Amino acid sequence: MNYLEKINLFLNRILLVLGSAAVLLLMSVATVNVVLRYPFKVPWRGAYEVVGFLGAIVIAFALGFTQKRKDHIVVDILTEKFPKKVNRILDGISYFITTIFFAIVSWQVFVWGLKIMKSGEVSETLKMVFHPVIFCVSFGFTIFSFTLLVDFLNIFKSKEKQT
Amino acid sequence: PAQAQIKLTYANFPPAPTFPCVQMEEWKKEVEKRTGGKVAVQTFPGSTLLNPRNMFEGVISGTADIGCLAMSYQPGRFPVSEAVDQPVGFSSAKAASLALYDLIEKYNPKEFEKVKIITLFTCPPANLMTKTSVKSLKDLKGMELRVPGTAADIIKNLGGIPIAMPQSDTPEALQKGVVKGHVSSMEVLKDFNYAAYTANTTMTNLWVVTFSVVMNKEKWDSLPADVKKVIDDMRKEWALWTGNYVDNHVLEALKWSKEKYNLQMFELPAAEKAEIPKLLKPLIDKYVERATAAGLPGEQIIKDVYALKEKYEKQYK
Amino acid sequence: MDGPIVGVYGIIFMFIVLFLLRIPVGFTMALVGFLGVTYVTGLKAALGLIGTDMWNIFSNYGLTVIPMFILVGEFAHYGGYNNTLYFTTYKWFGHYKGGLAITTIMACAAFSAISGSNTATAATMSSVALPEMKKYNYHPMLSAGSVVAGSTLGVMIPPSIVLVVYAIYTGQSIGKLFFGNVIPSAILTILIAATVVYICYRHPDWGPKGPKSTWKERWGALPEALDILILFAIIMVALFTGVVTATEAAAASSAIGLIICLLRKKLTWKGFKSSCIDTLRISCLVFMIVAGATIFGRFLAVTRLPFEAAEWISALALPNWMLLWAILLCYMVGGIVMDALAFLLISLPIFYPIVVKLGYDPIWYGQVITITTTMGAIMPPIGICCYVVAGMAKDIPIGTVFKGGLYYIPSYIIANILLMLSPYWTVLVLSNLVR
Ligand code: NA
Ligand code: NA
Repeated sequence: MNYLEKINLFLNRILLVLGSAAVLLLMSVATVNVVLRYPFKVPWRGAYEVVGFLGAIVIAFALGFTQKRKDHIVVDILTEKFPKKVNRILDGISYFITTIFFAIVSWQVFVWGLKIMKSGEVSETLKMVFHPVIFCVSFGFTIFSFTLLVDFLNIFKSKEKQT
Repeated sequence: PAQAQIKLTYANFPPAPTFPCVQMEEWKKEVEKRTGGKVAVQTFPGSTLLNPRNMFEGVISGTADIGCLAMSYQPGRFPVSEAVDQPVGFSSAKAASLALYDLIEKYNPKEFEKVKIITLFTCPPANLMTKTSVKSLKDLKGMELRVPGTAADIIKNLGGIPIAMPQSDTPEALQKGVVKGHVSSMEVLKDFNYAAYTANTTMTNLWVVTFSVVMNKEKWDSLPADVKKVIDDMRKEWALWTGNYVDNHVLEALKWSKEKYNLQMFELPAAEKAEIPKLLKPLIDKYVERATAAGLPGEQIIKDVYALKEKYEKQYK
Repeated sequence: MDGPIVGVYGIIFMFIVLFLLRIPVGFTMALVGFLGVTYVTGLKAALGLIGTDMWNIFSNYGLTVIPMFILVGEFAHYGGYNNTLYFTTYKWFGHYKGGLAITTIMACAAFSAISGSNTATAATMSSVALPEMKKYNYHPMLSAGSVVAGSTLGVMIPPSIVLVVYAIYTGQSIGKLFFGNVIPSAILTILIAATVVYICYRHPDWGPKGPKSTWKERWGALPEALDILILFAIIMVALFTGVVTATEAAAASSAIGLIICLLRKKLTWKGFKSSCIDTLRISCLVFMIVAGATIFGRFLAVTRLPFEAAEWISALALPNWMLLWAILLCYMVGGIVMDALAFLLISLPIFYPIVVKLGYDPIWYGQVITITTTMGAIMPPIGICCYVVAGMAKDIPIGTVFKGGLYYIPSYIIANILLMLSPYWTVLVLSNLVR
């Protein structure tokens, strides 16, 4: 169990670094395109597409880490009044459901990537293959689901510790 | 009709007033009438149910029973209809729609094997709409023009600077001069009020955007024979209806723009008109190469497109 | 069971899951939306939908404006510019009763001028303002409430995500929308500040007085804020002259902000890293809510509930102004039922054509809708700004944050009434300056 958590942490760290790189690259591409277009009149036609793809990577790679930090907003107006034990069970149910749900999402994004790959569709302007970016998003969801699974397993762990 | 036994959902992506949605509403009325109220069609315009990117998949998986998709915006995915996207110079949506229809009928491409084609049509030919007049290719040289990403090379070969940007950024970019004009079918002059920014047009008939309306196969198979017949009978009829409607709509838009914004219309000199096909030939050659590489008779497809173009342009002058 | 009623049950079910299961807001909406589409059209359709919708939202060019505007805010935050802004306004307003809360509102307004998002404003301002107000024994209801209300200015004052979304959907000029927004923003800021004064009058012990600064100290604090003002000027000029699109303006201002921070040696390596990380996680949080709302919206669309509701409203035999209020009421209910920005995404394609048909000016309507929408961001039970503030201030419970925010609701309604009294003097007089 402990090493599962370590692997998870390691993967989330790597994705965080890559995501940060992507957000800075996104900023640079959009900024450079302004500079190229305005003073130099040589806009890079593909900028719009690349910015969109980078944006996808930024968000997808942040998924696991954001979950790790428990940043996603939970409405606990009612549940905060429940006993701690009940809430832990509810958390368990919540992690269990979302682990499965986002595993399905990851799978379906992957399926979508496969479809794009097989159909031979390319991006509008650069005419480049973009299914690898879709696979990146799918991978982000995989790690996200994995993180939720680790959170789910942790609930049992802390219970064992208490008793 | 209260006693409708069959419900069909029909998804479309552009806003409700645009021509793909107008034809959708009209088709709905016609189908409901011809089936005597047996069929009720529910329409979902403006990407409320499916958007241009997931329209095809959405219909295959049954999110909507029927969907309208712009094939041109998914390059590589519809290699046969891509022939009609090539800059062969269609002069009307009518001719282009019927040519597209016949082409797809003839080749029955495998990319459509998972759906039932309800109809096919195109937008009217794309022309130059610019802030300052373009009377010759010289005027076009170095001019920044907004184009759909798929058509960027066409403008580049004519000497302009193509800028691919989302449709949503176009009015802003035109207004502020980030681009000096745009290239698309001309109903946008009125529909999106673009005539306010670009009061000059140059007739070049560069390309058309191809659309198909497709139905989920299982849904189609589940329909009774009489309903199938009504829909089948309307397939080609509707290609013509839509082409006809949108061609007239362009004329209306031009008239409106002339009255409201004193729209000026130009033609290129005859010598340049003859020059354009030569400038664009490399793109068509590239298509033939691509199609051949994909195992299609590319050469023959393009030959058919030219033949159909000639046939229908003569028929619907 | 069939038709719009399924949508109603879906909303009820979504609430049950939301309140009882401790699943985050965005996930709940995605999950219930997924189950709903499965129920109405089948599993195959629902599976296809979540895969493609997630990809489409994540790779949407228009939405990349969100991480970019958050990034510039984070650079300003870790570069210490937010403290500077707070310090400067505090020197000017700190010695009045509730002065720190008014300072917070003003600092939020200033920060909103560089940040396009209310969540980014809420996140940064709670880390700056809440500790200060705690230091001076401010009541949590006042301190959290003022941050929450102030943060809504994040979308009210340009640059603004709501105005950008509105422009994307309606094809209206972003420049016109941003300039038409100046007076409405000022009105709302003043009304929110006035609410603080009112709260302090009703509860004198909630916001005790701070120390008084000399005029010399006050003027001396101003140059510190100059960098921020320059950055603001650059963004506004760029948008005004139309050299750039919204995403590019946001990206360029991030780049310029980073350069300014580096030149002034204000940003440490650690601060730089934190800026990136915070941008990632706040963007992720916002995107997941947008994604959830989109998927839930698809489900509502398949049930045709929004269409029927909108058709029902537009078919009401009401005078135009009452119809407009009916639509705004719908936005308020929508803001209660779901995230306000998400509701805007769903409802705009339905209501916008009606409003235009009624003859209202689209630029003016954009402002009215922005005020109503940003109000939704603090309306319980789904008010994203309140969640962010409660998430940042672990010692203030979410219920207190929501209650603190409720005091400010009348400001938004009064602001809208003022806009309706004179569309010309509140909006068009400035928006007409932009060609
Ligand atoms: Na703002
Ligand atoms: Na709300």
